[in-house]
Amino acid sequence: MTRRRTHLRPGDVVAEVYRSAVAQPVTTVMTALLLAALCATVLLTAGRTDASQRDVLAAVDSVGTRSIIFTMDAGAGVDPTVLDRLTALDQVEWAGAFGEAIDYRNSALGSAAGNVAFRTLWTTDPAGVGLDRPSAPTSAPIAFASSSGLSTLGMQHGRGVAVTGTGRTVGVGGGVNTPQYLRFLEPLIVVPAQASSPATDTVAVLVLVANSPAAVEPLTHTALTLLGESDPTKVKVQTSRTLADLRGILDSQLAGSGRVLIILLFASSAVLTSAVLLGLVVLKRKDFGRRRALGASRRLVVTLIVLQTAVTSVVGAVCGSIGAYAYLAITRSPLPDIGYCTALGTLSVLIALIASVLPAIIAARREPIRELRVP
Amino acid sequence: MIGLQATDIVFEYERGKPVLNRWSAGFEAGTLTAVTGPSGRGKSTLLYILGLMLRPTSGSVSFGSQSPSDLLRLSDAERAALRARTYGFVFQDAALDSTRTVLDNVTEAALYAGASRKMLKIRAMELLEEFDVHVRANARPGQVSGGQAQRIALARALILSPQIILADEPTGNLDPTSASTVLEGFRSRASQGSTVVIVTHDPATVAHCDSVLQL
Repeated sequence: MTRRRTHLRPGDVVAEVYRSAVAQPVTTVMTALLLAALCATVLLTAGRTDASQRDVLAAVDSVGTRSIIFTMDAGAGVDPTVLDRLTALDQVEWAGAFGEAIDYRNSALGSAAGNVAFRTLWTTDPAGVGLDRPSAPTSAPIAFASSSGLSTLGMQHGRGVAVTGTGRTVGVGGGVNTPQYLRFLEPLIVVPAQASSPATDTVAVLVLVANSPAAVEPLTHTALTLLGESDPTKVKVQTSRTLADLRGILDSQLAGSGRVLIILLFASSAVLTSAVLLGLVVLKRKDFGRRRALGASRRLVVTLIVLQTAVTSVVGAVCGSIGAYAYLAITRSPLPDIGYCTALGTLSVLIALIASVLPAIIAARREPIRELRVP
Repeated sequence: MIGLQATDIVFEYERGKPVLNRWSAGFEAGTLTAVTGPSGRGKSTLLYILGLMLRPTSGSVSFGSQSPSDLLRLSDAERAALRARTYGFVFQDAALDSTRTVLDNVTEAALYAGASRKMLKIRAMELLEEFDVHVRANARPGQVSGGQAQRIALARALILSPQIILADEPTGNLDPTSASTVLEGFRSRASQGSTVVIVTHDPATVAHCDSVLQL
Protein backbone atom coordinates (compact mmCIF):
# COMPACT_ATOMS: atom_id res chain seq x y z
CA MET A 1 0.00 0.00 0.00
CA THR A 2 1.24 3.44 -0.87
CA ARG A 3 2.32 5.75 1.93
CA ARG A 4 3.40 8.73 -0.12
CA ARG A 5 2.32 12.19 0.86
CA THR A 6 -0.57 13.49 -1.17
CA HIS A 7 0.18 15.94 -3.97
CA LEU A 8 -2.78 18.26 -3.77
CA ARG A 9 -4.34 19.78 -6.86
CA PRO A 10 -3.81 23.57 -6.54
CA GLY A 11 -6.99 24.30 -8.49
CA ASP A 12 -9.04 22.15 -6.12
CA VAL A 13 -7.41 23.80 -3.08
CA VAL A 14 -8.26 27.26 -4.44
CA ALA A 15 -11.80 26.12 -5.23
CA GLU A 16 -12.08 24.75 -1.68
CA VAL A 17 -10.88 28.07 -0.26
CA TYR A 18 -13.52 29.89 -2.32
CA ARG A 19 -16.26 27.45 -1.26
CA SER A 20 -15.25 27.73 2.39
CA ALA A 21 -15.31 31.53 2.19
CA VAL A 22 -18.78 31.48 0.66
CA ALA A 23 -19.99 28.84 3.12
CA GLN A 24 -18.86 30.96 6.10
CA PRO A 25 -20.35 34.34 5.23
CA VAL A 26 -20.17 35.81 8.73
CA THR A 27 -16.45 35.12 9.13
CA THR A 28 -15.72 36.15 5.55
CA VAL A 29 -17.64 39.42 5.79
CA MET A 30 -16.23 40.27 9.22
CA THR A 31 -12.65 39.64 8.15
CA ALA A 32 -13.12 41.65 4.97
CA LEU A 33 -14.81 44.47 6.89
CA LEU A 34 -12.00 44.52 9.44
CA LEU A 35 -9.40 44.89 6.72
CA ALA A 36 -11.49 47.44 4.85
CA ALA A 37 -11.96 49.44 8.04
CA LEU A 38 -8.23 49.20 8.83
CA CYS A 39 -7.15 50.45 5.40
CA ALA A 40 -9.82 53.15 5.28
CA THR A 41 -9.01 54.40 8.79
CA VAL A 42 -5.28 54.52 8.13
CA LEU A 43 -5.79 56.32 4.82
CA LEU A 44 -8.27 58.80 6.26
CA THR A 45 -6.07 59.59 9.28
CA ALA A 46 -2.39 58.77 8.99
CA GLY A 47 -2.55 58.65 5.18
CA ARG A 48 -4.10 62.08 4.97
CA THR A 49 -1.61 63.36 7.57
CA ASP A 50 1.25 61.91 5.55
CA ALA A 51 -0.03 63.58 2.38
CA SER A 52 -0.46 66.88 4.25
CA GLN A 53 3.02 66.51 5.72
CA ARG A 54 4.42 65.93 2.24
CA ASP A 55 2.70 69.08 0.99
CA VAL A 56 3.86 71.15 4.00
CA LEU A 57 7.45 69.95 3.65
CA ALA A 58 7.38 70.60 -0.09
CA ALA A 59 6.14 74.12 0.63
CA VAL A 60 8.86 74.65 3.24
CA ASP A 61 11.48 73.27 0.86
CA SER A 62 10.29 75.52 -1.93
CA VAL A 63 10.95 78.72 0.05
CA GLY A 64 14.56 77.87 0.29
CA THR A 65 15.34 75.76 3.30
CA ARG A 66 18.31 74.48 1.38
CA SER A 67 19.77 77.72 0.02
CA ILE A 68 22.94 79.45 1.26
CA ILE A 69 23.67 83.02 0.17
CA PHE A 70 27.14 84.56 0.35
CA THR A 71 27.24 88.32 -0.14
CA MET A 72 30.64 89.78 -0.93
CA ASP A 73 31.36 93.48 -0.31
CA ALA A 74 33.68 95.30 -2.67
CA GLY A 75 37.23 94.13 -2.19
CA ALA A 76 36.33 90.63 -0.92
CA GLY A 77 38.31 89.21 -3.84
CA VAL A 78 36.16 86.20 -4.74
CA ASP A 79 36.44 85.33 -8.44
CA PRO A 80 34.22 83.09 -10.62
CA THR A 81 36.62 80.13 -10.37
CA VAL A 82 35.07 79.50 -6.95
CA LEU A 83 32.27 77.69 -8.80
CA ASP A 84 34.67 75.00 -10.02
CA ARG A 85 35.62 74.24 -6.43
CA LEU A 86 32.09 74.32 -5.05
CA THR A 87 30.30 72.31 -7.76
CA ALA A 88 32.72 69.45 -7.07
CA LEU A 89 31.14 68.99 -3.62
CA ASP A 90 28.59 66.15 -3.31
CA GLN A 91 26.30 68.21 -1.08
CA VAL A 92 25.83 70.92 -3.72
CA GLU A 93 22.70 70.60 -5.83
CA TRP A 94 23.12 73.93 -7.61
CA ALA A 95 25.61 76.79 -7.52
CA GLY A 96 25.51 80.18 -9.19
CA ALA A 97 27.54 83.35 -8.90
CA PHE A 98 26.40 86.87 -9.73
CA GLY A 99 28.61 89.85 -10.51
CA GLU A 100 28.31 93.43 -9.26
CA ALA A 101 25.06 95.12 -10.19
CA ILE A 102 25.45 97.43 -13.23
CA ASP A 103 22.74 99.97 -13.98
CA TYR A 104 21.11 99.73 -17.41
CA ARG A 105 18.11 101.48 -18.87
CA ASN A 106 15.88 100.86 -21.86
CA SER A 107 17.60 102.57 -24.80
CA ALA A 108 14.27 103.05 -26.55
CA LEU A 109 12.99 105.25 -23.71
CA GLY A 110 15.96 107.62 -23.67
CA SER A 111 17.47 109.19 -20.56
CA ALA A 112 14.05 109.48 -18.91
CA ALA A 113 13.93 105.71 -18.31
CA GLY A 114 14.73 104.39 -14.86
CA ASN A 115 17.84 102.32 -14.16
CA VAL A 116 17.65 98.58 -13.51
CA ALA A 117 20.44 96.40 -12.13
CA PHE A 118 21.94 93.87 -14.53
CA ARG A 119 24.24 91.18 -13.18
CA THR A 120 26.71 88.86 -14.86
CA LEU A 121 25.83 85.23 -14.18
CA TRP A 122 28.25 82.33 -13.79
CA THR A 123 26.81 78.84 -13.46
CA THR A 124 27.25 75.37 -14.89
CA ASP A 125 23.50 74.80 -14.76
CA PRO A 126 21.54 77.73 -16.27
CA ALA A 127 18.26 75.90 -15.67
CA GLY A 128 18.82 76.51 -11.95
CA VAL A 129 18.35 80.24 -12.58
CA GLY A 130 15.22 79.64 -14.59
CA LEU A 131 16.53 80.75 -18.01
CA ASP A 132 13.90 79.95 -20.61
CA ARG A 133 16.57 78.59 -22.99
CA PRO A 134 20.30 77.82 -22.80
CA SER A 135 22.58 80.78 -23.49
CA ALA A 136 25.12 80.41 -26.26
CA PRO A 137 28.58 81.17 -24.84
CA THR A 138 30.17 82.26 -28.13
CA SER A 139 27.44 84.60 -29.32
CA ALA A 140 27.10 88.26 -28.40
CA PRO A 141 26.02 88.93 -24.82
CA ILE A 142 22.30 88.69 -24.28
CA ALA A 143 20.34 89.48 -21.14
CA PHE A 144 17.62 87.32 -19.62
CA ALA A 145 15.00 89.16 -17.60
CA SER A 146 12.25 88.06 -15.26
CA SER A 147 8.76 89.46 -15.83
CA SER A 148 9.29 92.07 -13.09
CA GLY A 149 12.67 92.94 -14.67
CA LEU A 150 11.04 93.43 -18.08
CA SER A 151 8.28 95.49 -16.50
CA THR A 152 10.81 97.72 -14.73
CA LEU A 153 12.75 98.16 -17.96
CA GLY A 154 9.53 98.99 -19.84
CA MET A 155 9.98 96.02 -22.19
CA GLN A 156 6.55 94.40 -21.84
CA HIS A 157 7.06 92.58 -25.16
CA GLY A 158 10.16 90.86 -23.80
CA ARG A 159 12.69 92.26 -26.22
CA GLY A 160 14.80 95.36 -26.60
CA VAL A 161 18.16 96.92 -26.04
CA ALA A 162 19.47 98.21 -22.74
CA VAL A 163 22.25 100.72 -22.35
CA THR A 164 24.50 101.83 -19.50
CA GLY A 165 25.32 105.41 -18.63
CA THR A 166 28.66 104.93 -20.41
CA GLY A 167 27.00 103.79 -23.61
CA ARG A 168 27.61 100.02 -23.31
CA THR A 169 24.66 98.10 -24.77
CA VAL A 170 23.20 94.64 -24.35
CA GLY A 171 20.24 93.00 -26.04
CA VAL A 172 17.42 91.72 -23.89
CA GLY A 173 16.00 88.61 -25.53
CA GLY A 174 15.40 85.87 -23.01
CA GLY A 175 13.14 85.22 -20.05
CA VAL A 176 13.80 84.11 -16.50
CA ASN A 177 11.38 82.17 -14.31
CA THR A 178 12.97 83.26 -11.06
CA PRO A 179 13.19 80.35 -8.59
CA GLN A 180 12.23 80.96 -4.98
CA TYR A 181 15.81 81.02 -3.72
CA LEU A 182 16.74 83.89 -6.09
CA ARG A 183 13.72 86.08 -5.36
CA PHE A 184 15.90 88.35 -3.21
CA LEU A 185 17.58 89.49 -6.48
CA GLU A 186 14.34 90.67 -8.10
CA PRO A 187 13.84 92.41 -10.45
CA LEU A 188 16.28 89.88 -11.85
CA ILE A 189 18.12 90.51 -15.09
CA VAL A 190 21.17 88.39 -15.78
CA VAL A 191 23.73 88.30 -18.53
CA PRO A 192 25.30 84.83 -18.74
CA ALA A 193 29.09 85.17 -18.68
CA GLN A 194 30.84 84.75 -22.02
CA ALA A 195 33.90 82.66 -22.60
CA SER A 196 35.76 85.92 -23.20
CA SER A 197 34.74 87.45 -19.87
CA PRO A 198 37.69 89.16 -18.23
CA ALA A 199 39.46 87.04 -15.60
CA THR A 200 39.41 90.04 -13.30
CA ASP A 201 35.62 89.84 -12.83
CA THR A 202 34.60 89.45 -9.20
CA VAL A 203 31.64 87.76 -7.62
CA ALA A 204 29.25 89.85 -5.56
CA VAL A 205 26.67 87.23 -4.68
CA LEU A 206 27.13 83.49 -4.51
CA VAL A 207 24.13 81.19 -4.09
CA LEU A 208 24.41 77.52 -3.20
CA VAL A 209 21.52 75.04 -2.94
CA ALA A 210 22.31 72.06 -0.72
CA ASN A 211 20.92 68.66 -1.66
CA SER A 212 19.17 68.35 1.72
CA PRO A 213 18.22 70.63 4.60
CA ALA A 214 20.56 68.68 6.87
CA ALA A 215 23.49 69.49 4.55
CA VAL A 216 23.03 73.26 4.84
CA GLU A 217 25.17 73.76 7.93
CA PRO A 218 28.16 71.55 7.00
CA LEU A 219 28.09 72.86 3.44
CA THR A 220 28.21 76.46 4.70
CA HIS A 221 31.36 75.71 6.68
CA THR A 222 32.97 73.85 3.79
CA ALA A 223 32.10 76.57 1.27
CA LEU A 224 33.60 79.28 3.46
CA THR A 225 36.95 77.47 3.29
CA LEU A 226 36.77 77.27 -0.50
CA LEU A 227 35.80 80.86 -1.37
CA GLY A 228 39.39 81.99 -1.81
CA GLU A 229 38.54 85.49 -0.60
CA SER A 230 41.28 88.01 0.13
CA ASP A 231 39.37 89.62 3.03
CA PRO A 232 37.08 87.32 5.08
CA THR A 233 35.50 90.28 6.89
CA LYS A 234 33.84 91.32 3.63
CA VAL A 235 31.90 88.08 3.22
CA LYS A 236 28.44 87.73 4.76
CA VAL A 237 26.51 84.45 4.92
CA GLN A 238 22.77 83.98 5.03
CA THR A 239 21.32 80.53 5.49
CA SER A 240 17.84 79.26 6.09
CA ARG A 241 18.91 77.36 9.17
CA THR A 242 15.78 78.34 11.09
CA LEU A 243 13.62 77.02 8.29
CA ALA A 244 15.73 73.88 8.12
CA ASP A 245 15.26 73.36 11.85
CA LEU A 246 11.53 73.93 11.49
CA ARG A 247 11.45 71.42 8.69
CA GLY A 248 13.21 68.86 10.85
CA ILE A 249 10.71 69.40 13.66
CA LEU A 250 7.75 69.09 11.29
CA ASP A 251 9.21 65.97 9.73
CA SER A 252 9.83 64.17 13.02
CA GLN A 253 6.68 65.31 14.82
CA LEU A 254 4.23 64.64 12.00
CA ALA A 255 5.81 61.36 10.97
CA GLY A 256 6.07 60.26 14.60
CA SER A 257 2.40 60.85 15.37
CA GLY A 258 1.39 59.01 12.20
CA ARG A 259 3.54 56.02 13.04
CA VAL A 260 2.05 55.59 16.52
CA LEU A 261 -1.47 55.73 15.10
CA ILE A 262 -0.67 53.18 12.41
CA ILE A 263 0.96 50.80 14.88
CA LEU A 264 -2.10 51.01 17.16
CA LEU A 265 -4.47 50.40 14.25
CA PHE A 266 -2.49 47.44 12.96
CA ALA A 267 -2.24 45.90 16.42
CA SER A 268 -6.00 46.28 17.00
CA SER A 269 -6.72 44.84 13.60
CA ALA A 270 -4.44 41.84 14.21
CA VAL A 271 -6.12 41.10 17.54
CA LEU A 272 -9.63 41.43 16.07
CA THR A 273 -8.81 39.29 13.02
CA SER A 274 -7.33 36.63 15.26
CA ALA A 275 -10.42 36.77 17.50
CA VAL A 276 -12.78 36.39 14.53
CA LEU A 277 -10.83 33.40 13.22
CA LEU A 278 -10.60 31.84 16.67
CA GLY A 279 -14.38 32.16 16.85
CA LEU A 280 -14.60 30.38 13.52
CA VAL A 281 -12.33 27.58 14.73
CA VAL A 282 -14.41 27.09 17.89
CA LEU A 283 -17.72 27.17 16.02
CA LYS A 284 -16.50 24.90 13.24
CA ARG A 285 -14.46 22.49 15.36
CA LYS A 286 -16.49 19.52 14.18
CA ASP A 287 -15.83 20.60 10.60
CA PHE A 288 -12.08 20.59 11.18
CA GLY A 289 -12.28 17.26 13.01
CA ARG A 290 -14.12 15.76 10.03
CA ARG A 291 -11.58 17.14 7.59
CA ARG A 292 -8.74 15.62 9.59
CA ALA A 293 -10.51 12.25 9.77
CA LEU A 294 -11.15 12.20 6.03
CA GLY A 295 -7.49 12.77 5.24
CA ALA A 296 -6.65 16.46 5.54
CA SER A 297 -3.14 16.88 6.89
CA ARG A 298 -2.45 19.53 9.51
CA ARG A 299 -0.56 21.50 6.88
CA LEU A 300 -3.56 21.46 4.56
CA VAL A 301 -5.90 22.70 7.29
CA VAL A 302 -3.48 25.55 8.06
CA THR A 303 -3.14 26.31 4.34
CA LEU A 304 -6.90 26.43 3.83
CA ILE A 305 -7.47 28.86 6.71
CA VAL A 306 -4.52 31.11 5.85
CA LEU A 307 -5.44 31.20 2.14
CA GLN A 308 -9.05 31.94 2.97
CA THR A 309 -7.88 34.80 5.18
CA ALA A 310 -5.58 36.03 2.42
CA VAL A 311 -8.32 36.13 -0.21
CA THR A 312 -10.79 37.79 2.16
CA SER A 313 -8.18 40.27 3.36
CA VAL A 314 -7.16 41.28 -0.15
CA VAL A 315 -10.80 41.95 -1.06
CA GLY A 316 -11.32 43.95 2.15
CA ALA A 317 -8.07 45.93 1.79
CA VAL A 318 -8.79 46.82 -1.85
CA CYS A 319 -12.38 47.88 -1.11
CA GLY A 320 -11.38 49.91 1.98
CA SER A 321 -8.50 51.63 0.18
CA ILE A 322 -10.56 52.49 -2.90
CA GLY A 323 -13.41 53.80 -0.75
CA ALA A 324 -11.14 55.98 1.40
CA TYR A 325 -9.19 57.23 -1.61
CA ALA A 326 -12.42 58.16 -3.37
CA TYR A 327 -13.63 60.02 -0.27
CA LEU A 328 -10.36 61.97 -0.03
CA ALA A 329 -10.53 62.82 -3.72
CA ILE A 330 -14.17 63.96 -3.50
CA THR A 331 -13.48 66.13 -0.45
CA ARG A 332 -10.34 67.55 -2.15
CA SER A 333 -8.16 66.42 0.74
CA PRO A 334 -4.44 65.70 0.30
CA LEU A 335 -4.10 62.31 -1.41
CA PRO A 336 -1.57 59.73 -0.21
CA ASP A 337 0.53 58.47 -3.11
CA ILE A 338 -0.04 55.08 -4.72
CA GLY A 339 3.10 53.67 -3.10
CA TYR A 340 1.68 54.50 0.33
CA CYS A 341 -1.65 52.80 -0.51
CA THR A 342 0.10 49.73 -1.91
CA ALA A 343 2.37 49.43 1.10
CA LEU A 344 -0.61 49.86 3.43
CA GLY A 345 -2.64 47.19 1.62
CA THR A 346 0.26 44.75 1.55
CA LEU A 347 1.06 45.29 5.21
CA SER A 348 -2.61 44.93 6.19
CA VAL A 349 -2.91 41.60 4.40
CA LEU A 350 0.37 40.41 5.95
CA ILE A 351 -0.88 41.37 9.41
CA ALA A 352 -4.13 39.46 8.78
CA LEU A 353 -2.15 36.42 7.59
CA ILE A 354 0.05 36.49 10.67
CA ALA A 355 -3.06 36.85 12.85
CA SER A 356 -4.61 33.82 11.14
CA VAL A 357 -1.69 31.48 11.83
CA LEU A 358 -2.50 30.78 15.48
CA PRO A 359 -6.20 29.98 14.87
CA ALA A 360 -5.16 27.86 11.89
CA ILE A 361 -2.72 25.85 14.01
CA ILE A 362 -5.38 25.36 16.68
CA ALA A 363 -7.80 24.14 14.00
CA ALA A 364 -5.19 21.78 12.58
CA ARG A 365 -4.60 20.22 15.99
CA ARG A 366 -8.24 19.31 16.50
CA GLU A 367 -8.46 15.61 17.37
CA PRO A 368 -11.18 13.90 15.32
CA ILE A 369 -12.10 11.61 18.20
CA ARG A 370 -12.94 14.61 20.41
CA GLU A 371 -14.96 16.36 17.73
CA LEU A 372 -16.79 13.49 16.03
CA ARG A 373 -17.73 11.14 18.85
CA VAL A 374 -21.27 11.41 20.08
CA PRO A 375 -21.41 10.92 23.87
CA MET B 1 -5.25 -12.60 4.50
CA ILE B 2 -4.94 -10.00 7.23
CA GLY B 3 -6.00 -6.55 6.00
CA LEU B 4 -5.33 -4.66 9.20
CA GLN B 5 -3.32 -5.74 12.24
CA ALA B 6 -3.27 -4.13 15.69
CA THR B 7 -0.54 -5.36 18.00
CA ASP B 8 -0.09 -4.80 21.76
CA ILE B 9 -2.14 -1.62 21.78
CA VAL B 10 -2.04 0.26 25.08
CA PHE B 11 -4.04 3.45 25.40
CA GLU B 12 -4.48 5.60 28.51
CA TYR B 13 -6.62 8.71 28.85
CA GLU B 14 -5.31 8.92 32.42
CA ARG B 15 -1.87 7.73 33.45
CA GLY B 16 -2.03 4.24 34.98
CA LYS B 17 -5.63 3.60 33.83
CA PRO B 18 -5.37 1.99 30.41
CA VAL B 19 -8.54 1.77 28.34
CA LEU B 20 -6.82 -0.72 26.07
CA ASN B 21 -4.13 -2.90 27.63
CA ARG B 22 -1.83 -4.82 25.25
CA TRP B 23 -4.76 -5.42 22.92
CA SER B 24 -4.03 -7.28 19.68
CA ALA B 25 -6.22 -8.42 16.82
CA GLY B 26 -6.04 -9.07 13.09
CA PHE B 27 -8.85 -8.03 10.76
CA GLU B 28 -9.28 -10.23 7.69
CA ALA B 29 -9.56 -8.62 4.31
CA GLY B 30 -12.90 -9.35 2.65
CA THR B 31 -14.78 -9.69 5.93
CA LEU B 32 -17.01 -7.61 8.20
CA THR B 33 -15.82 -7.52 11.80
CA ALA B 34 -17.99 -6.18 14.59
CA VAL B 35 -16.30 -4.68 17.66
CA THR B 36 -18.75 -4.70 20.52
CA GLY B 37 -18.88 -4.44 24.27
CA PRO B 38 -20.12 -2.20 27.07
CA SER B 39 -19.66 1.56 26.93
CA GLY B 40 -16.31 2.87 28.13
CA ARG B 41 -14.30 -0.18 27.06
CA GLY B 42 -12.45 1.72 24.32
CA LYS B 43 -14.31 0.60 21.19
CA SER B 44 -14.32 4.02 19.54
CA THR B 45 -10.82 4.70 20.82
CA LEU B 46 -9.67 1.50 19.12
CA LEU B 47 -11.40 2.54 15.90
CA TYR B 48 -9.65 5.92 15.84
CA ILE B 49 -6.31 4.21 16.57
CA LEU B 50 -6.91 1.79 13.69
CA GLY B 51 -7.79 4.84 11.57
CA LEU B 52 -4.43 6.45 12.41
CA MET B 53 -6.17 9.44 14.00
CA LEU B 54 -5.07 8.67 17.53
CA ARG B 55 -1.65 7.54 18.68
CA PRO B 56 -1.73 4.91 21.46
CA THR B 57 0.61 4.94 24.44
CA SER B 58 2.30 1.94 22.85
CA GLY B 59 1.62 -0.71 20.24
CA SER B 60 1.48 -0.75 16.48
CA VAL B 61 -0.94 -0.84 13.56
CA SER B 62 0.02 -2.33 10.21
CA PHE B 63 -1.53 -3.64 7.03
CA GLY B 64 -0.65 -7.21 8.11
CA SER B 65 2.16 -9.45 6.87
CA GLN B 66 2.06 -7.92 3.38
CA SER B 67 3.15 -4.55 4.77
CA PRO B 68 4.16 -5.06 8.41
CA SER B 69 5.72 -1.68 9.23
CA ASP B 70 4.04 0.37 11.95
CA LEU B 71 1.71 2.92 10.39
CA LEU B 72 1.54 4.90 13.61
CA ARG B 73 5.20 5.88 13.20
CA LEU B 74 4.47 7.71 9.96
CA SER B 75 4.39 11.49 9.86
CA ASP B 76 1.10 13.37 10.13
CA ALA B 77 1.13 14.10 6.40
CA GLU B 78 1.76 10.44 5.53
CA ARG B 79 -0.97 9.19 7.88
CA ALA B 80 -3.34 11.81 6.47
CA ALA B 81 -2.55 10.65 2.94
CA LEU B 82 -3.28 7.07 3.95
CA ARG B 83 -6.57 8.08 5.52
CA ALA B 84 -7.56 9.90 2.36
CA ARG B 85 -6.61 7.19 -0.12
CA THR B 86 -6.85 3.90 1.75
CA TYR B 87 -9.43 4.42 4.47
CA GLY B 88 -13.12 5.14 4.45
CA PHE B 89 -14.83 6.40 7.61
CA VAL B 90 -18.46 6.39 8.64
CA PHE B 91 -19.17 8.32 11.82
CA GLN B 92 -22.00 7.90 14.29
CA ASP B 93 -23.87 11.04 13.26
CA ALA B 94 -22.90 11.24 9.58
CA ALA B 95 -20.84 14.43 10.20
CA LEU B 96 -21.80 16.07 6.94
CA ASP B 97 -20.86 19.66 6.18
CA SER B 98 -24.19 21.46 6.39
CA THR B 99 -22.91 24.41 4.34
CA ARG B 100 -22.10 22.29 1.28
CA THR B 101 -24.21 20.39 -1.19
CA VAL B 102 -24.74 16.65 -0.95
CA LEU B 103 -22.46 16.17 -3.97
CA ASP B 104 -19.69 18.28 -2.40
CA ASN B 105 -19.95 16.21 0.77
CA VAL B 106 -19.64 12.92 -1.09
CA THR B 107 -16.59 14.08 -3.06
CA GLU B 108 -14.85 15.86 -0.15
CA ALA B 109 -12.19 13.20 0.37
CA ALA B 110 -11.03 13.67 -3.24
CA LEU B 111 -9.50 17.00 -2.23
CA TYR B 112 -7.37 15.34 0.44
CA ALA B 113 -6.41 12.43 -1.80
CA GLY B 114 -5.28 14.67 -4.65
CA ALA B 115 -8.01 13.31 -6.93
CA SER B 116 -10.21 15.36 -9.22
CA ARG B 117 -13.57 16.19 -7.68
CA LYS B 118 -15.04 16.79 -11.10
CA MET B 119 -14.03 13.31 -12.26
CA LEU B 120 -15.63 11.77 -9.18
CA LYS B 121 -19.01 13.40 -9.59
CA ILE B 122 -20.39 10.60 -11.76
CA ARG B 123 -19.09 8.02 -9.29
CA ALA B 124 -20.72 9.99 -6.47
CA MET B 125 -24.06 9.99 -8.29
CA GLU B 126 -23.78 6.20 -8.79
CA LEU B 127 -23.11 5.65 -5.09
CA LEU B 128 -26.04 7.84 -4.06
CA GLU B 129 -28.23 5.85 -6.43
CA GLU B 130 -26.88 2.57 -5.03
CA PHE B 131 -27.74 3.63 -1.48
CA ASP B 132 -31.17 4.80 -2.46
CA VAL B 133 -30.56 8.51 -1.82
CA HIS B 134 -32.89 10.29 -4.19
CA VAL B 135 -32.23 13.96 -3.55
CA ARG B 136 -31.05 16.74 -5.79
CA ALA B 137 -27.26 16.82 -6.03
CA ASN B 138 -27.23 20.44 -4.95
CA ALA B 139 -29.49 19.79 -1.93
CA ARG B 140 -28.01 20.62 1.47
CA PRO B 141 -27.68 18.07 4.28
CA GLY B 142 -30.27 20.02 6.25
CA GLN B 143 -32.82 19.09 3.60
CA VAL B 144 -32.41 15.30 3.95
CA SER B 145 -33.53 12.83 6.62
CA GLY B 146 -31.22 11.26 9.20
CA GLY B 147 -31.27 7.96 7.35
CA GLN B 148 -30.43 9.65 4.08
CA ALA B 149 -27.63 11.62 5.76
CA GLN B 150 -26.01 8.42 7.01
CA ARG B 151 -26.27 6.87 3.54
CA ILE B 152 -24.69 10.01 2.07
CA ALA B 153 -21.89 9.58 4.65
CA LEU B 154 -21.50 5.98 3.48
CA ALA B 155 -21.21 7.16 -0.14
CA ARG B 156 -18.54 9.65 1.01
CA ALA B 157 -16.62 6.85 2.75
CA LEU B 158 -16.69 4.65 -0.35
CA ILE B 159 -16.05 7.26 -3.06
CA LEU B 160 -12.37 6.34 -3.47
CA SER B 161 -12.95 2.56 -3.10
CA PRO B 162 -10.97 2.28 0.15
CA GLN B 163 -9.27 -0.94 1.24
CA ILE B 164 -10.08 -0.30 4.89
CA ILE B 165 -13.55 0.81 6.01
CA LEU B 166 -14.08 1.87 9.63
CA ALA B 167 -17.54 2.66 10.98
CA ASP B 168 -18.52 3.97 14.43
CA GLU B 169 -22.11 3.02 15.30
CA PRO B 170 -23.17 3.53 11.67
CA THR B 171 -26.69 2.24 12.23
CA GLY B 172 -27.23 3.65 15.71
CA ASN B 173 -29.79 6.27 14.68
CA LEU B 174 -31.28 4.60 11.61
CA ASP B 175 -34.56 2.95 10.83
CA PRO B 176 -34.34 -0.75 9.88
CA THR B 177 -34.55 -0.04 6.14
CA SER B 178 -31.76 2.51 6.17
CA ALA B 179 -29.69 0.30 8.47
CA SER B 180 -30.11 -2.59 6.07
CA THR B 181 -29.02 -0.44 3.11
CA VAL B 182 -25.91 0.69 4.96
CA LEU B 183 -24.98 -2.86 6.02
CA GLU B 184 -25.51 -4.11 2.47
CA GLY B 185 -23.14 -1.40 1.32
CA PHE B 186 -20.50 -2.69 3.71
CA ARG B 187 -21.13 -6.26 2.66
CA SER B 188 -20.70 -5.52 -1.05
CA ARG B 189 -17.34 -3.73 -0.36
CA ALA B 190 -16.15 -6.62 1.78
CA SER B 191 -16.97 -9.00 -1.03
CA GLN B 192 -14.70 -6.87 -3.23
CA GLY B 193 -11.79 -7.36 -0.78
CA SER B 194 -12.11 -4.46 1.62
CA THR B 195 -11.53 -4.89 5.35
CA VAL B 196 -14.57 -3.60 7.23
CA VAL B 197 -14.53 -2.90 10.99
CA ILE B 198 -17.77 -1.78 12.64
CA VAL B 199 -18.06 -0.58 16.23
CA THR B 200 -21.62 -1.27 17.33
CA HIS B 201 -24.01 -2.04 20.14
CA ASP B 202 -26.73 -3.11 17.74
CA PRO B 203 -27.38 -6.90 17.81
CA ALA B 204 -28.78 -6.81 14.26
CA THR B 205 -25.56 -5.25 12.99
CA VAL B 206 -23.49 -7.78 14.95
CA ALA B 207 -25.53 -10.57 13.43
CA HIS B 208 -24.73 -9.22 9.97
CA CYS B 209 -20.97 -9.44 10.52
CA ASP B 210 -18.60 -12.34 9.80
CA SER B 211 -16.73 -12.09 13.10
CA VAL B 212 -17.16 -10.38 16.43
CA LEU B 213 -14.54 -8.92 18.77
CA GLN B 214 -15.70 -8.34 22.31
CA LEU B 215 -14.01 -5.58 24.35
